[in-house]
Amino acid sequence: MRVGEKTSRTSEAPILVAVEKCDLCGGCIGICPTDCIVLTEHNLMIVGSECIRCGLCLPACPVGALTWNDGDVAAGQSTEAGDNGK
Amino acid sequence: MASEKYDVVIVGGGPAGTMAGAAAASEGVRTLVLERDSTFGIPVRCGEGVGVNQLERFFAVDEKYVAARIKGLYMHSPDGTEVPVVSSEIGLVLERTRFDRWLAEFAALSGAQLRTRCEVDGLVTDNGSVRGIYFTRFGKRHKVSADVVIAADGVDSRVARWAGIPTQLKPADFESAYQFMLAGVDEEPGSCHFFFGNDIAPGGYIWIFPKGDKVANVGIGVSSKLCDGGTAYRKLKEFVRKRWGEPAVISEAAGGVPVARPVRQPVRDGMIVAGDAARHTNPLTGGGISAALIGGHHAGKVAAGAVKNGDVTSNGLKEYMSRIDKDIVKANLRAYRLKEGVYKLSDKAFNRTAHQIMALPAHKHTLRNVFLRGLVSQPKLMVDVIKAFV
Ligand SMILES: Cc1cc2nc3c(=O)[nH]c(=O)nc-3n(C[C@H](O)[C@H](O)[C@H](O)COP(=O)(O)OP(=O)(O)OC[C@H]3O[C@@H](n4cnc5c(N)ncnc54)[C@H](O)[C@@H]3O)c2cc1C
Repeated sequence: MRVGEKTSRTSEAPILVAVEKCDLCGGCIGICPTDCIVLTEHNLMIVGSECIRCGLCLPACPVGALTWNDGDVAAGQSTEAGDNGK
Repeated sequence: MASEKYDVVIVGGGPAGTMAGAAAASEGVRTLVLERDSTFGIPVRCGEGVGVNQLERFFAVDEKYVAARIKGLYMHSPDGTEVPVVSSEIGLVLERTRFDRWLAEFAALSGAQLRTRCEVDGLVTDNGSVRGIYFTRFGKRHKVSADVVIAADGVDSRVARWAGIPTQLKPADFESAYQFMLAGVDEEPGSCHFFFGNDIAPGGYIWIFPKGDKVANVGIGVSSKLCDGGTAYRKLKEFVRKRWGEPAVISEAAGGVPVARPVRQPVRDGMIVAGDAARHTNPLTGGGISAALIGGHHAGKVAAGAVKNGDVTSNGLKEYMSRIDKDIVKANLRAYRLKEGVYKLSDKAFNRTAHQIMALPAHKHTLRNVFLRGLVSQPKLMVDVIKAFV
């Protein structure tokens, strides 16, 4: 029952959250060694300043909503929308 | 800042949290359960399978939250061999929206105070001891002082970490999961299926738990050590399409399942950790409802006792450790070793095991025999198998 908006956060964050894919399940948080991913009732945020770029959260995501912020996509924006299955 | 005082405050309103709330409140201490979401039990991130015995340890099963009774278990090897497994345990498929709500009501009737939409975002500490929590509701911060804080905040637990308890999971100890609840699918009510194989679900399995009325949970867990992001969803979609085409979807959810050793020190001065937050899920099956109930129950009882005794230091709370050691930790460490053994199996070994079991008479298709044969090349695990599957 979420009414708010899910957002990917902070321009420095090395990881981007595809907000339309993220289900707010929190799996990535269980695996993040620096406690830099924050889940509220409506948002998943990655605090860029605390991220150590270990990449552990990427495979932990069941839907593949997390990607490296390699500069291809403007920070704070989501990656391409839609179904990631075929 | 608004400030209140309770004896015990519980973070999280899943089965661990509400059970802890019921256990503590029934001892007569002032107890508060705080849930981040707006409804206890929603969203559901669970296959909803559980053993009757586990529930009946604490309360009589109420049909209100039972979707189906499990009648048969079928394991499927990578080459498609279907092995019917006999089990003495009676299982249920729950309706977790109703079950979690029922537990919340149970906690309330036991005397606990419960609140939704309260996001716990900090600990009150004093000289390293936990003395309460801060929560935010509608953008406003509140403080709750408490003698004991129970962290029951699930797989994404941060509360325990704030108290310095390491709960971080390795990729090999983490299953990335996805589940659909499908409607209009022709699955025999009560017949549960499990599909194994390194292509089907690397380091995990796919399950089908029919709920009756042609509704079924179908889900997947895959090892995040062996997979890329998105694998769980992709593999499950593929499976669904092959088996049913394009069935109607009633709900779907992503999730994470700890398949780890239990947290070593789930107590601190003023804090107890329970349920998924304490990594109490069974690492072999990924089932965590029963351990959440058991751990939550012990956490609530021990917290209440410590409040009454006036000693809420880790020493005063250490009875929790001995209680869960007997009830959860030993079995989970065994299950963890078995999980590691199963991880090593090739598809060929899975297939061979399935064929061997099928050559036995039906009444010998026990989980014990499945594991004894499957892990035969790892003799060190035989004792674990025998103890795990009595
Ligand atoms: C896809 C999937 C399928 C599963 N299938 C099964 C199954 O068939 N059988 C089985 O036994 N187990 C299954 N499990 C595991 C089972 O769901 C969990 O083990 C169980 O829910 C754990 O209960 P818990 O109370 O510890 O945590 P949860 O049920 O996760 O509850 C934690 C609660 O805490 C709240 N919370 C978190 N942080 C805060 C905060 N900061 N402030 C306030 N509230 C907070 C959350 O909103 C949540 O309601 C499955 C898990 C998944 C992901």
